[in-house]
Amino acid sequence: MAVTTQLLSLRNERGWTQAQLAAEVGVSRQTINSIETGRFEPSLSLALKLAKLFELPVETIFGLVEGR
Amino acid sequence: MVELTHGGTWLKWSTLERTDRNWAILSFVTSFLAALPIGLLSGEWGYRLGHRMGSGGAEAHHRSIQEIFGPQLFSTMMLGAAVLAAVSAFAWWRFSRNQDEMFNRIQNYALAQACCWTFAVAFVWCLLELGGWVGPLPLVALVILGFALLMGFWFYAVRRWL
Repeated sequence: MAVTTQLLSLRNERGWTQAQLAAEVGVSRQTINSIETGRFEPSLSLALKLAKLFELPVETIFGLVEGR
Repeated sequence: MVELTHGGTWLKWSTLERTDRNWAILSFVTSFLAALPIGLLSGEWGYRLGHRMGSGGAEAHHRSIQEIFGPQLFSTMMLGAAVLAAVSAFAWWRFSRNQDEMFNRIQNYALAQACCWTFAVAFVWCLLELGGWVGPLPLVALVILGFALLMGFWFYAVRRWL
């Protein structure tokens, strides 16, 4: 199972930069970049922080697909 | 929050807060000072190993680091290195505590892998030594191996996640 994310499109919809989003959830810009490109799977607490910030259910931002 | 640059070999200084910079500087300076006597020992170990492998030279006339500095000063140097290493580890722990999960995941992965593999090598070496196949494993060799593995796994983790 692999984790997919809509973080990049959601961030672009709101017109935020990676640095702005990173500052909001307390991580580095590199972490946001790695999550958006699918290289890094965030912890549950970070996923929940992002969901709260975007005011969306966490499964709207992150999903699971078969395979890698 | 810190960002890693140059493939994980350096920290982007401008992303650090003032407190984190102070912890990082303290850790770097103390680890550098602690590494000086360790460097002398590893140099001596390398010399002896090279000699045993047939590089030539007169090992019989070679004075050990302990003989050069004398037992009193040598003991003080080793104690100083241990204290400085402990201070460095504490400062780095305080620095790491303020960083995000990406940094800590990379660091924890590298530390865990390096510790496991170093322990495995030491364990196998001890078994071989009990069987009379090899001589005793120098502690400094284990330290060098541990650091080399730590660096290797660190760079691997940076490439994987960053």
